[in-house]
Amino acid sequence: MDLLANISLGLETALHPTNLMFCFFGVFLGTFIGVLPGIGSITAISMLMPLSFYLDPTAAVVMLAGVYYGAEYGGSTASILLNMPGTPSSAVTCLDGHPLAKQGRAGVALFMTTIASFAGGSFGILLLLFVGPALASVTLSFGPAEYFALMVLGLVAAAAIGNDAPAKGMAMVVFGLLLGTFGADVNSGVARFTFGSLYLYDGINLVVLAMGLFGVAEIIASIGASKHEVPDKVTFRSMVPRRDEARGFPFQALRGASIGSFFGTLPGTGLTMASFVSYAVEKRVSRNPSAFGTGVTAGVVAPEAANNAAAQTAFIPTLTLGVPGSATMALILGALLIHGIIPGPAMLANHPDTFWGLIMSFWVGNLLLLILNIPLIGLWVRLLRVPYHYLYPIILSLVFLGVYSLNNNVYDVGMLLVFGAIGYGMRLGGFSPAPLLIGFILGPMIEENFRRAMMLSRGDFGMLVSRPITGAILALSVLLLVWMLVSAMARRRAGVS
Amino acid sequence: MKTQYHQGSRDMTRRRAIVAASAMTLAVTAFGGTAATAQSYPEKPVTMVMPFSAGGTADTTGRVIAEGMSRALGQQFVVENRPGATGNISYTSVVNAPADGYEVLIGYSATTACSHALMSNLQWEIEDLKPLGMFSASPMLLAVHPSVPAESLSEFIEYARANPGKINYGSPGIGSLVHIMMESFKLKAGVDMFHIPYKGTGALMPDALSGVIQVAMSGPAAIVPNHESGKLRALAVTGTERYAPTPDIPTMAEEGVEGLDTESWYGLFVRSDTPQEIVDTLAAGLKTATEDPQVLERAETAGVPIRYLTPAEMGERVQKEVADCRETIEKAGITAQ
Amino acid sequence: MKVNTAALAGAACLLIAGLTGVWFGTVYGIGSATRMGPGFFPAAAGGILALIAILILILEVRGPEPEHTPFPWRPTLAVLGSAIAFMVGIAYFGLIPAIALTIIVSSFGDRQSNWPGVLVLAVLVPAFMGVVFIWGLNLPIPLFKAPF
Repeated sequence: MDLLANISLGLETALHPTNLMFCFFGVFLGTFIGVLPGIGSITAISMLMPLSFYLDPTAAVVMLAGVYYGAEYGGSTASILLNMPGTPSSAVTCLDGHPLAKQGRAGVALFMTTIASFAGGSFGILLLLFVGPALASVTLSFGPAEYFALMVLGLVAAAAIGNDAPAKGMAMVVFGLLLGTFGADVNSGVARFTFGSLYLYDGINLVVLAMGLFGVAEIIASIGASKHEVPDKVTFRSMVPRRDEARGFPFQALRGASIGSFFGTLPGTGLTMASFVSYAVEKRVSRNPSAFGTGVTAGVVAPEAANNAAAQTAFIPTLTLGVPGSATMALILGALLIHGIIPGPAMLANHPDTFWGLIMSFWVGNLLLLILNIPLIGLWVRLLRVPYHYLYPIILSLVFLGVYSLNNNVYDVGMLLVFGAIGYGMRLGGFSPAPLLIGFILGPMIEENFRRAMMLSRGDFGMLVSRPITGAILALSVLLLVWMLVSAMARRRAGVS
Repeated sequence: MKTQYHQGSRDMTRRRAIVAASAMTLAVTAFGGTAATAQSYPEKPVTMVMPFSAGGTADTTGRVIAEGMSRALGQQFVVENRPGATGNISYTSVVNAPADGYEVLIGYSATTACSHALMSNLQWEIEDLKPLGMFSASPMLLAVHPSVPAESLSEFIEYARANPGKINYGSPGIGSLVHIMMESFKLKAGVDMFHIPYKGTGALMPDALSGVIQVAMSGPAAIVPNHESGKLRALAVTGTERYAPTPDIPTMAEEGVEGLDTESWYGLFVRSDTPQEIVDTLAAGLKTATEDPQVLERAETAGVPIRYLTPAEMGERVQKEVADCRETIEKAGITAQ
Repeated sequence: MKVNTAALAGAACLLIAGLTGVWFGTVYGIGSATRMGPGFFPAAAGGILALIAILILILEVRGPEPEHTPFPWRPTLAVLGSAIAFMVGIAYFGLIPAIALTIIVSSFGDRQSNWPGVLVLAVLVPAFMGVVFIWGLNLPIPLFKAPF
């Protein structure tokens, strides 16, 4: 069978000592970078790009890709331990991951996210392997109208994320939408809310926003306050989940991985959206949604499975269509182009060893990450014993340096400061930052795609219902919204409020 | 100034080590800054400011030439990405850096020529920059989705005339090089097409491949592979001659659309008040770099077309393009800001 | 009657933000539903935000009395100050001084900070970051630089 031959060719390439070494280096660096709040995979990959000039193209891309998905493994560690996301896509993991750590169950949380990451990653690789090219053509059937509908569905689902007063959650989503409009308008070129400065021309950077709202605000709140329960010894036993948690795991991971794979395949949607939506869905399908936010493992398993699956399926449009879905994917595409390998339909025919070798290296990398991360759990948990007054200056330095290195621009640090202050103010007033972040991500996509769809239909609203996918997704959004309202009213009547 | 970190001798207390380190910073401050003279240039690594993010065509092009410059002048040329505001963040930072030749701008055609006609709040002027030479230029390709019934540009123009305003073309943004060139094409060919702006070429490609937009224009990297696999049909290239790797695709002029010879180019600039000796050293270094066989080989694999123009030729080109750009923008009524 | 002043202030800020959005939206041009202008979305988001903010104000005034906690001036000022110290440091003096300043200034935020320890951190952390990020990852930031 053809596939078997491809897999064996891929394995042969991936297990070649040089490639194996670069794969290990990539995933190791990725995990490390992912754990550190502020420094993200995009900074690491941009800095490694010049190095890839001098490497064999397969080794170079195996390494860069390793940094990329490795960072998704590490990203949740800081979320769980410090309530501070290592990467924006792990922001939602704070919601339940940190409460688990506060209950002394950091080991369990870290163990389950590692397994979930591996499950999600593997799911994504399987899709890449068996239906990659087919999925790529599905991607192409999503035009602006379909994207618009999908983003609306995401927004409706996301309204469920916060655990506080619904009015406050809604206010934060809308505030996020408003922040998302900063910068040059795609459709007219008008610079909005830039106050005459070039700095805001490209809008607010997601990393700056996430690090300010979650990271800096968390540090201000935690100085002199937080006392963690730290288990004396980190035994393998302390990482074992309760039976009910273990029983729910396969379904949570599968739901997360499916949602993540879907968003990963769609160019432009990204890992953060995948993790937020899967959290929201998990909360919807849970029998006990009110427990979310207090430390349930489902709240860390699903989003981590989702962002790792998305990290793998993001390669589908990049490799099979030559269309990079995100800035990081554009970097990896660039690394291939430097060596004259042109991703797209022709890559399978012209460079099968690179193509299949890369895919199989993902699996090797995921296995390495699993082996690497489980022993590290004990080490990370011990990190909680370091007095916070030693820890927070180091974290702050990392966050500042990470944000600065995004664009080599000090204004980004200034902006971080502004969002840190806003984030802390929000905490005091009982506003949660997670809905703001999802509004910020979805807002520009909703606006851009809606206006583009209206331009394409020359101003005819009919296109929203006449296209089958668009109509179906919008109908689903309306149903979800109605169901949410009805169930909210039912709860109010029952006196639970 | 890059100095290595020195921790101080062992008998010092930790506090003293800090004091020593800060004293050293002060010493560097006081004495290190004045040493740069024109004769010994370059005596420390030179920063090449790249106006776009790492990984794209611009970045690859810049890195290839930085490698050649390092060899030509025997000093490290380090590419630093300072993206933002379609490249204007980098332009602003270079004209505000000291005029000592240690910050060299990798200029891009559209940012140089069109920014002033589009944006009102820029903090740099064309006169602030002195050209050191152009090192890369590549044509743009106009391609249509296979569903468009046109095998050549003239057939396409006929089809477009028969369907005024019905065809959509995509561009990577308002005021981008593609937007301006397509508007110029519409004026010159006498057709009416509808502009759909995107956030960059990456965002545009899925819609171009699926036929949501029927016309796309971009550099060879995005168009040629899809032309070869039949997902898009490239009809013409801009520029004065055919593009070497695709000799079967005619130029716009061959198909009867004259005057669309704008290319997407990269060249080096420094602040215009940089000492002349330094300017000459850099310009000579760039010329050597564009002839370096290793650079040419690297450029060939990476698909970067190397083309050299002297500082004077580049200066003329910039002047002409600034005027052309302003004219098209006014005629087509493109506004931003 | 005591109320949650932080929530009230937050809602007031959101109201102002919403109205600002509406105001600028009209400046940028709202357009029509079929041909939206650049101001449509900011104005719509701002309008909805203002309405929700008013709703929150009403709910909060009638809400339960919150527990009173003093505002943590010390950590807030230390963190804000350390960011400014980092910005000045990285712009004028290079990476090592910037990180050292960040560590020292931010340590003022916690009364438990012990200063010998802070100074050790102020030496070790910049050195570590220099090795990892500048030499290891080649970030284009000078370790030290002359300010003028």
